[in-house]
Amino acid sequence: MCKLHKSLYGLKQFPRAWNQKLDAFFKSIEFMKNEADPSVYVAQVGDVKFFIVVYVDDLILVCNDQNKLLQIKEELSQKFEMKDLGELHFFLGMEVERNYDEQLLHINQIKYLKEILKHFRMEECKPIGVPFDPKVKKEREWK
Amino acid sequence: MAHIANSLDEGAMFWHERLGHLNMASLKELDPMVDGMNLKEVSLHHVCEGCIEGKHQRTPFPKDGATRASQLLEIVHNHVCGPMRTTLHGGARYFLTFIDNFSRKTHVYFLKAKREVFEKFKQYKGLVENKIRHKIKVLRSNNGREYVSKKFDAFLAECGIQRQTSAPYSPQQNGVAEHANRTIMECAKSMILAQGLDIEFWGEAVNTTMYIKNRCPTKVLNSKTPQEAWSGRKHDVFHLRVFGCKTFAHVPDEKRTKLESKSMPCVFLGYYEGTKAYRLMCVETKKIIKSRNVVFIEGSKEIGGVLHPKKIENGVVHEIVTEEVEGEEPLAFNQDTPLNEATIKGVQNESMPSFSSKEKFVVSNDNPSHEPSQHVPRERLQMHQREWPWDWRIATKEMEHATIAFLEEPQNIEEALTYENSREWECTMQEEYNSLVANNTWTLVPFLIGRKHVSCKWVFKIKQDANGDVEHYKARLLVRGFTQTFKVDYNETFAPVAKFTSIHCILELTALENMEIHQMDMKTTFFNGELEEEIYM
Repeated sequence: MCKLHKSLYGLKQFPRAWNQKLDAFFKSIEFMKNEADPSVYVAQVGDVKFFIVVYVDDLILVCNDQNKLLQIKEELSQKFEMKDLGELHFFLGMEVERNYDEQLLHINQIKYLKEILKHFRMEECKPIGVPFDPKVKKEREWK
Repeated sequence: MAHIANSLDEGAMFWHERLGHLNMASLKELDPMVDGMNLKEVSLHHVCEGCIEGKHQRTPFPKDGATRASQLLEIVHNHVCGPMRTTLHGGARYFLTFIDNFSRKTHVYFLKAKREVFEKFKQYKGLVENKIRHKIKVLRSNNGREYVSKKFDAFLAECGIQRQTSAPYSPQQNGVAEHANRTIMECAKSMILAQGLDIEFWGEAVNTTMYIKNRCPTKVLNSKTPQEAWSGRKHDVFHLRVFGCKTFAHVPDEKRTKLESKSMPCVFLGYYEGTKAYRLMCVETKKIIKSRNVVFIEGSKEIGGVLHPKKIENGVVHEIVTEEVEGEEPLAFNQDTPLNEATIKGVQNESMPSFSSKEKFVVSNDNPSHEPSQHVPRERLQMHQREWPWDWRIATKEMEHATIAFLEEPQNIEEALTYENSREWECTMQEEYNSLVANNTWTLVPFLIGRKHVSCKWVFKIKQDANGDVEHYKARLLVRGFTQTFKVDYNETFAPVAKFTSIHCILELTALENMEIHQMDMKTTFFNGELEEEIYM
């Protein structure tokens, strides 16, 4: 029999234990928990704005100052064994594309859609505008 | 220095040992050839333990010791062959043979995984017992895990079927099935290679081989073919043709216009049991066709190169039946039946030799397994097959990878250790285990009677890169949280996750203010959470 000290994947309290740990850390580096959404953390020092969005073990970090961003990332990867995935491209099945010139940011779920099609073995199916092709019935009647 | 022996026999024993455990007959022979041995008496039947340990041989198998059944279905042999390197397009990598000992009539089933054996046996039993007015009495197989499951045992007991398994590591005792597999494989290989067909046709070849072998003589039957012994009727072989040869199939009037060709080139792939029609594959469309209006060009071999199932561009393939003939679906490609997720109970510690015996933990896997509905009506299944463009021919690249990945991820620890790449799995498991121990995740405590504990299991994943190649193997020990009890093992589970609106909001801000947006994820999340409750595993 093993007595558990740390939470393991699959435990009911696993996400909570992790979240509490993370929460404590963010508070220690002076981030404020957003009141409307408790998994968004905000910090503002002068002109530097910093947002962190937590989605269980995925983090999005947004900042208008590159140095500050790097510093926080460094801290995170030291404290927890975190992997830096660089610029955001994929998040929760969404693909993120940026166009800096026009200040645009596109999100799409193409990959997710393709996976659904694959799952239902419909990748090779022909796209159709109407759920039931009205022509099919007509042809029969004509004959 | 000579050793003085007290008794005669002992003297011989010493010489036996001095001469490197020379056998007694040679010892006796040597005595007159040399001086100084002076053996009095040599017993040829002396037992020396060293000799047994060093020279023990396998007990020979009796040449004519095989039992012969006296009626149909008295003894049924079966054997699984595979996994094959090439996965069929229905996902099958194994084939399963059932051979009736009396008639040597063979049936072949194709499997995605070995656990389907039980399901197929039930199908086979239903099929043959209905056809032949006898019941299966004995099922003979090897000791494979796929045969020895509780469910299978219970089913056999219920039907009054005796199970005979061969002794461990003695496949010779299931000779009929083993030999049949070899014959089938050799025959199938020859047919494919001779016609220059792609190896992906092995399923078709195996199926056809079975059909042919049932109509060829075997040693044990006198002047009868298995088919005749089985059905009691003499059959003709008038309709047999060379596998893989070029053929032309007549295009029915309804399917063509006046000026279109009346025939289409096909490759011959086999027969239909129970239907007087040939199984063909259209060269152009790569569709499987069932037709009886066929012209064969048996000498032709150039067809093999043309046909390459991978080259299918438009993978939507249906089985089109050019003749309205009713018949059973080919065995090989009825792969749409639900997988029988037979879970193996109570995995033993012995199966994980790499973990030190002091730190034993039982990995149990007693899922409350949901029996998939076993009685899917036949009509529905067939409709299903027609509707979905999922025939064995769909072969886009992604699909192939998907199938392979699906196949090679073991479902439980036993499978992981028996799969081809069991070494990799064992390695990753060991790594994971080491890191758990190193992080002080648990301490071992003596078993507390009456204290509830949660169970755990291993899960396995193959991580692939964008090209679908294997990046690395991943094994993870999971706690099975659903075995926890509220207020005993846990109190609070709530953990907030970001709302999508806030994610969108922040993405908008990022775009507007041209901010940097980066992402991080957790490598080993689980190390971090400390537990408030006392939990045992």
